[in-house]
Amino acid sequence: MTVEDLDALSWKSGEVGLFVSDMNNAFTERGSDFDRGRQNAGIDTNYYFDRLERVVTPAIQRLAVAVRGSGGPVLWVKPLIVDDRARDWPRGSRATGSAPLVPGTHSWDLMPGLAMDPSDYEVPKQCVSAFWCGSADQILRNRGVRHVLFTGCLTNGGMMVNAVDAAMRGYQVTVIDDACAAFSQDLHDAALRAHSIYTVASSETALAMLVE
Amino acid sequence: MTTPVHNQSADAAATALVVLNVNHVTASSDSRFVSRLRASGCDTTYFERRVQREIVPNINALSRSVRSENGSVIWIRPEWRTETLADWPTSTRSNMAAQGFDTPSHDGLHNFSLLDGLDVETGDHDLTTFSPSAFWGSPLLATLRNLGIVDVLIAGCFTESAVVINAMDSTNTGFFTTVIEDACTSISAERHEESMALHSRLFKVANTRDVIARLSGK
Repeated sequence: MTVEDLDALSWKSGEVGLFVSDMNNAFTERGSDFDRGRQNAGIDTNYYFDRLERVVTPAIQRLAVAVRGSGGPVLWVKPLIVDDRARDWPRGSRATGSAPLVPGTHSWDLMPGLAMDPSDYEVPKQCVSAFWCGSADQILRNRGVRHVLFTGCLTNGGMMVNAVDAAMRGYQVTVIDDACAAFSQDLHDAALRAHSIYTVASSETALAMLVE
Repeated sequence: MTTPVHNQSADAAATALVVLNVNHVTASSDSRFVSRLRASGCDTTYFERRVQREIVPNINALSRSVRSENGSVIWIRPEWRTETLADWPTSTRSNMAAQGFDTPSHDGLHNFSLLDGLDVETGDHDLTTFSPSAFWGSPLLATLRNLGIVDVLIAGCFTESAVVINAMDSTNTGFFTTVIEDACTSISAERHEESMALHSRLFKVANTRDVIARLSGK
């Protein structure tokens, strides 16, 4: 991604929003049901959790500070599953393994190292997309956001689905490479190059553009 | 690649086949898109053969099967009326223009018409979309809900863009969603397969023969 490409996007004060996908303990904690499910499927989960702890979390936290400072909204998006059989999620979705997932529980809380500011938005979603099944679009549109930075997990799941949906709704979309994680570098890279409708940049580059 | 086909709904009439972008502007050998690829040195043989030998026959077979069970067939075509694609989402414009989608495509123009050989029948639905997602850029979601659809079958092109985007939206809006792997295509086999592999956990994947067997067995 060249500076010229990024220059074509809006970085004006208040027009950049930060979308943080599924960074709550249910999906980011070693030893969670989510972790055990992947391990039972034969996946070595150390890469994923190492990346979350060492790379992704600090990058998201820095971006959140910068976006707030520029007058834009920060959206912490979390799956909300009230029914213990996930019947409040779309048929065919794979939410059953995470149900229930509700406020007031450890699984709902953000992973250590991440902190909401009182001015931030907690955005529950009841399908993978917070644009179809949450208030992401309303918040971003009402706040006058034109350009959304996407972060969180999984790069090839919630992050990618929401980035595509934002692009469909007319937002400029940048995916922050080092603020996302998948279960392997190959899956992460494949998701970053899967859709030409979003731009990919590092957090360092995005932070520099926000400061300018 | 394919996953088992399950009986999703009790009623085959609650099935819709959604066919994406199999019109001249996207899928014809003489389109500006394919011509530009060819001129840039890209081998378009795979795409042209796959459209003619697999995609069109498989879509026809699927649509016959869906209609025979009183299901619905919905043809989606992309429309834009400006050379700059100003009526499409911002993030899509530059790439689409660069790929040759830079002249208007709408009703009354040859490039808007469906490919020759596709069997469209009275009673089929014909929708125009102003976005790669017909769930967002057309009345598709309202049409599916009004028809009482439960199962959505997705076919068409291109696999890595409209097909997977609409399949994700279909799942997120509550439909049992199956992408018909041999009724979709990309420019190359590699791009098709990579995209199917990356997205396949977000919806079901099946082939034409199995889906027709499932429909007729309901």
